[in-house]
Amino acid sequence: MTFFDELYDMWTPHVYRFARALSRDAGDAEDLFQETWLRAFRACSTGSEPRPGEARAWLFAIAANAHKDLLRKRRVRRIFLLERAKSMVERTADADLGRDLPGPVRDDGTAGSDLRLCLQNALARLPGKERRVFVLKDIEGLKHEEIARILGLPETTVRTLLHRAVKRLRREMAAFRPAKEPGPAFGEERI
Amino acid sequence: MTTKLSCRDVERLVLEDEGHELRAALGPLVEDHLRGCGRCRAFAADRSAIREEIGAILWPAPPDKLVRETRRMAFEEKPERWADGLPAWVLVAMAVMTIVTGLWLAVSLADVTPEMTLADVPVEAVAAVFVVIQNALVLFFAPVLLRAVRSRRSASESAP
Repeated sequence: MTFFDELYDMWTPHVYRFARALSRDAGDAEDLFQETWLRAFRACSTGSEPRPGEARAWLFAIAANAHKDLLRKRRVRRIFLLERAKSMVERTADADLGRDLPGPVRDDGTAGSDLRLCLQNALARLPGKERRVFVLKDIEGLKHEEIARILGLPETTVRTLLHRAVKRLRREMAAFRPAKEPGPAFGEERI
Repeated sequence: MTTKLSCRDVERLVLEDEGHELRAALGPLVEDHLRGCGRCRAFAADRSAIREEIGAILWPAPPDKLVRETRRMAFEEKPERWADGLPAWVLVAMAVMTIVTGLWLAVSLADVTPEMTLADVPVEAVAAVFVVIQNALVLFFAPVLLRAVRSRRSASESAP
């Protein structure tokens, strides 16, 4: 069994979850997943393997770069192949709740809350940088310094991006707040 | 003297303080602020609701087919370099052409000054500018066009 095989067997679910959380739909997530592992394989075959204990960060860094490249390519294509009309259609489709996003299903198999669905859709609409930081923080549970290392950003930038992402998500939550304002925020108990 | 925290500080602390250690250390200051500031209380409550809801998402496992296919692709992929398969004489010819073109451009454009009008510019210089623009356009659009052609071809091949 090669080093790559060990890496692949151990981290496949993590990389896939990361790709799903970063992508708008399952197709994009699969592309990102494949691109990440192909880049990882190339790196392993040229001797740039991760150091012991750093495999996850190494793979996430590859995935984050692949995601960045994917978004950049899409932007260029949209501009120069006059796909604006198409993207408008896509954006409209994105606005429909639950567009091929991972279903918020609870352990008991029942549907998740509307708020969760709303947050998932809002997450898919975050700008790329903010989305990467938010996913690494809230879904992968990494610390600011780890995120900064993975994304190659200063820690202060990571904090700022996370702050912006949370602010955007809060705006999306507005519809779920009690109508009476000013009142306790969502999740806060009324006394 | 009592130090007061601003709303911005408290928002940062709330974002920073996932394990509540920081808030415990700065306890009285943060708690004082939160008691008196509905905006920051709302922020803290929303933050914890976001974390809770996002944390409750059950992400699907990777499809078996994708896992198998990706492993196969990784091992079957041959490292490709742009020069692979090209005979040495082609590489030498390309290098010579690049150098000659560079020299020709340098000579053709040497006499062109900013004061010249289009009518004054020598024909060789116009040709050189044309070559520069043509190369820039090809370099810029070729990858996009190639990708579009490939995806159209693969779509027509996969169609029943």
